Amino acid sequence: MNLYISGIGAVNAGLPSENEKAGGDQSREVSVIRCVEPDYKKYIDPKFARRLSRIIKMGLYAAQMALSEAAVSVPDGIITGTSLGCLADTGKFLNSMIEENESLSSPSAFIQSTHNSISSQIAIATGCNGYNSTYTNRGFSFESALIDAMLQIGENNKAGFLVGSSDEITDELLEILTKPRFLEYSGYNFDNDLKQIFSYGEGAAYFYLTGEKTAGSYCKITSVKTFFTPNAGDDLIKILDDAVSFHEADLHGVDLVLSGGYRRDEALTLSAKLSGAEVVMYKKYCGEYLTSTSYALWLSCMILKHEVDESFIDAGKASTPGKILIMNSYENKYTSFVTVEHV
Amino acid sequence: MKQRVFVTGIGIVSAIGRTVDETADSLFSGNTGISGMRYLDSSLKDLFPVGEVKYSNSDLSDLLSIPEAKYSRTFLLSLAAAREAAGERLSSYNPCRLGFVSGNTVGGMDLTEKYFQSMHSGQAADVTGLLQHDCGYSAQKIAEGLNISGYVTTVSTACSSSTNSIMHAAMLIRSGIVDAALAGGVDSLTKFTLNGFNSLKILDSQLSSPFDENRNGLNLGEGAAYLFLESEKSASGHMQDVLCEVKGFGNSCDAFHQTAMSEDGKGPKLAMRGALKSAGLEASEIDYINLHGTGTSNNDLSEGIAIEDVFSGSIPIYSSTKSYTGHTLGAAGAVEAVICTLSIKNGIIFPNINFKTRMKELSVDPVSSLLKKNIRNVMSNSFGFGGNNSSIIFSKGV
Repeated sequence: MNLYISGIGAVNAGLPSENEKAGGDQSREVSVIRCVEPDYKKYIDPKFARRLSRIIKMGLYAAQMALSEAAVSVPDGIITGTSLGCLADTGKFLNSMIEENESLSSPSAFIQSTHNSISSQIAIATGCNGYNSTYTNRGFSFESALIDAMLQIGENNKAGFLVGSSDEITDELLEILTKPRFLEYSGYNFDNDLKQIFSYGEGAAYFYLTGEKTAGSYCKITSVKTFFTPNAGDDLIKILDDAVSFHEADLHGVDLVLSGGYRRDEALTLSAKLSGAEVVMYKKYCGEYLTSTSYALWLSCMILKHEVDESFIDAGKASTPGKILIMNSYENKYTSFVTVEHV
Repeated sequence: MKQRVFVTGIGIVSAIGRTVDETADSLFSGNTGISGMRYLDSSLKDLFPVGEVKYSNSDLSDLLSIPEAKYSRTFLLSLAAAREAAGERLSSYNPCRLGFVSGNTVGGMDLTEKYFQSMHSGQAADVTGLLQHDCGYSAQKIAEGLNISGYVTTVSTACSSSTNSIMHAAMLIRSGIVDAALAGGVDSLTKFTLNGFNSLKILDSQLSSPFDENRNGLNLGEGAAYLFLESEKSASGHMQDVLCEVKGFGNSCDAFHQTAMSEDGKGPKLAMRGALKSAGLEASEIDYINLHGTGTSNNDLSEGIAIEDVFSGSIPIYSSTKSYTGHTLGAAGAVEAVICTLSIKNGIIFPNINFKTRMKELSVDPVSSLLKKNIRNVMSNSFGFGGNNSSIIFSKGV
């Protein structure tokens, strides 16, 4: 089935043309691409915003922006993917619990620490009593939210769902991620000369999705597939090979791949399998985070809406892509394919 | 016509037992699992009784025959229940047509808080323990261990997480994405959650008494439970294993407050009505409600008022089995789904122990002693922080 997109919103580091590592932080062993902080007042009442943590504000801002573009005030349902949830408040509550030897008085950090507080605050802000859920499963957190939207809308095709993700980098997380022993264990695979494009990242993006085409629909998600391959070892090429063969029908006509990988052989495999489609490694624009597929989906929408300076794709190609495959992969265990095209 | 979804296997570990059989024994004999804190090393030890699983991590590792001292309690509990629910049959399914859907709220927080504690007191701390912090860790390890590769995910909607995971799995099966799935959830007791609920001032210092006029808060518990769900087609070769059917479900958001529930029970009403509609049942066809019934003033009032409204004129009998297990948070929906399955199978309603006085706002008492009853349809409620309300209906199998 198709999910039609008529509204998008995001808090991120920007489009490729804007973003030569916007907010980049090269002072550490590993670089970081942070979001450009928006003027939250534009979509969130400042009195309400003051009580919210940053990750929730990022999500709520992106969500309201998507609804505003779709000209919808209350969606029928809200689904969020977040891989690590509300880390800032989790850390805050943990630290004060330890410092005060378990004699806490304030529950506010605990209240905002739960993963579902992003979807919940969006529901409160929009007055949405409909379906509400949150997925948190490493490299499939956002993909699960999309698949759930397909299931929900599949059983009620009149419904319009707000679906997105929010993940943030905190100083505490960065400190942990860059500890030597931690890096050894979190096995990212890259070509040595492509190591330089590896940065940690963050971002929020929401999409207003409907099962039927509306006047405002400008692109559609035509398939979302996840491949869980815990025992495949290092061989992402084989995973991609299998995945492409298995889903050939979904991939027909793809002329651009936004790849979450860091290796040329992966890019070449995809390109060769897809009649020479152009492959762009998108994480140099948003950094590595487990819900970065949502950045790639946002970027795809911007490309299909012609709101992008396309020189980052391939200066030599004249025509705008009509169908985009987003391939993301985390530790060769969580690989996903999302296809999106013009309506 | 949608595919029907059957429950053909169950697994559970909680304060009242390490297996389905032990759990059933405790339920029949009226023995609560809530007692003084023994395994969690918290300064609040003497203040609040809890529903702990009565095994240390090292006991659990031995029982599961896995190398000790490395895994979060969350993973160990989850593995125990998932293995039991999977039973012996799992290897006869195509791994690519199997799913694993878990519900969880704090992941490997038990290891994370130890790490933070060590860092705080300047001791050496093993940073690799933090690789188990996220909620997806346990799902990955278990799906890997059980060779499930068709679909894996984790839902986190606070105290309704595992009801939503069962719903999600049922919809995956109905849509044909997988043929069968293990669905449920897990949460282990941690200082983080204990202190969180204490800061909200909703922990009872005595045994909790859900749906009682003089209720005074909840007892936290821990545990894991999974149900093996399969499509009618997949189950057709072994219908004798069918325990019950996932008949329908509803999910709504109160959209009222991040932790408190609306007093008129708007979200709970929508969830229960949604479940009835999805199951194609009238309110009068529900024979028993397994309540969310945490024992907090706010939850029980909101839930009670919502039930009076939705079932007006024909309020089914109901009870909260959290008086046995404590509130197992992300595992609660699945723990109670297993208990509902036992109720259906045995024709028995398990009581709301500790009940004394009816709430003045309500017209019905919860069941307070074992009751024999033929049960066709059971509704199980799970309402979480964030207004994440879900209701699910299980019905007697074919």
